[in-house]
Amino acid sequence: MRLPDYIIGFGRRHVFSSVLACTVVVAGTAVVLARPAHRSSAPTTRPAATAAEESNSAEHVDFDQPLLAGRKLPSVAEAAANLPFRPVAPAAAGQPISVWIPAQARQHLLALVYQHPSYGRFMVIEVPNVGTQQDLEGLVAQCATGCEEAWSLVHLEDGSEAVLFEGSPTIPHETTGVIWIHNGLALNVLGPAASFSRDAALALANRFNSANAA
Amino acid sequence: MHGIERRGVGRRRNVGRTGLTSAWLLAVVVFAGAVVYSLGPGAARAGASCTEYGVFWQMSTGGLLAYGAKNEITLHDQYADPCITPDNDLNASGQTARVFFGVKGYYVEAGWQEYACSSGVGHCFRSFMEWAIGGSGAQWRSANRHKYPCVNPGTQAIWSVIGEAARATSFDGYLNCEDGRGERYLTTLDLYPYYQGYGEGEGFFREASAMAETHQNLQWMDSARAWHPSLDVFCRYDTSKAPYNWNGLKVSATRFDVVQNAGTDC
Repeated sequence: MRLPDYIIGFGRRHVFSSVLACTVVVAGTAVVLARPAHRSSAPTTRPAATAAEESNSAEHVDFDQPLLAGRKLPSVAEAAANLPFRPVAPAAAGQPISVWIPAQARQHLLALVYQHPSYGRFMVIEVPNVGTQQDLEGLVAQCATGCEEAWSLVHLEDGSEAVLFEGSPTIPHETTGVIWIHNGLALNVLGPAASFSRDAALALANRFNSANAA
Repeated sequence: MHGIERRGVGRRRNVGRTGLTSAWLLAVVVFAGAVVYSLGPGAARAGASCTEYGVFWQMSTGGLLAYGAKNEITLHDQYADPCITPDNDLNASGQTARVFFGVKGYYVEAGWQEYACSSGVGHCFRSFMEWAIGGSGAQWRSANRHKYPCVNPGTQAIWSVIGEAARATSFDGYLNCEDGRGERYLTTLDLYPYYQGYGEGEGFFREASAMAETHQNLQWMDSARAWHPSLDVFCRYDTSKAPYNWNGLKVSATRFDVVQNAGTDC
């Protein structure tokens, strides 16, 4: 049975109008979802952030170019020629993808950046040790009243005491790493907390700790 | 019959038109509301962050490393950010004197910060020190008005971080209110194994808060614990890009101002 033309016409207009109305609503929703997050400062409409969600620092670790005005060198051997200490870079950790020393020769510091198949991106910072084991442990002591990351004392495989800091994987820019003293150097292995675990940090600290200087 | 049917259908069509008109009106209202919401005061709602931004200017030392930094810094009420609450206790804005250890995310600093008063009414100020190894560490804070009376809007004071002579990786913080009573001790932080770097001044803020301030009489301390005026100042790092665009403006070799949409970006 064929419906009268005016009914067919009404149905077509109804469907067309309904689709248009839905489109407008969907578009409006999309506009809301895509709006810039920083546009406003209305004090009463914005939900408060919690301290646990926000980094309290505007400056973060850079796992690509870690140093201020750093000199990128082609190899660890080249770095060794420019430093007053022998770098530690065990073959078991793989080859660093970049080797950095400060542009200012007076500062004695080495940063090795790695991209490891298992551990992902991490970095090792080596400096001459100027403190004591007590100074190292002081990092943990001053976190007794609370730090952004969890700081604790751990033992490496050779029995030496090290400091472990564990960042939250969900807070942007937090890191996880280990600091310890090794043959006159202070070493610090660290990676982004989102991808670099406590176990990875400890495993690598043990590799570097058992290695001989280059 | 047709007429009746037509009138009947006609009535239904009129009802349908009314319904469609209402649907259109609703849709338009929803759309308009969405646009207003998006562009207007509610724009920064859910999903907005409370990110901290900073402007870092460094002192030139003629190639020597700094073991301490000292800045005379102004203080103004610049809090305008709704993401700061008494509950989250985040800082809204602030300024520091600092030693940066050469590795990004490694530093010690002392200065002031503005925050939401715990009473929920008004803006409060406190002195603080912060240390970071691997990008974050912790803050020591004090809102003790008796001990640090000059942390108030409209004032200026000298803030310093100083590496200890006997224990190089320990840094002491001081506040000099310039009231004739000398340095007021803040606290001591352990930065092992870092002890030498670069003297800096920093301005920081979150979102809608401001940070227009002056850092002057910039000084750095050498390895013999002697203080020297900065030989020059330059932008070292700046995370405040558009739409905020706060920068440092060099005024002299020992002074920079934190300004918006002017100065030098980096």
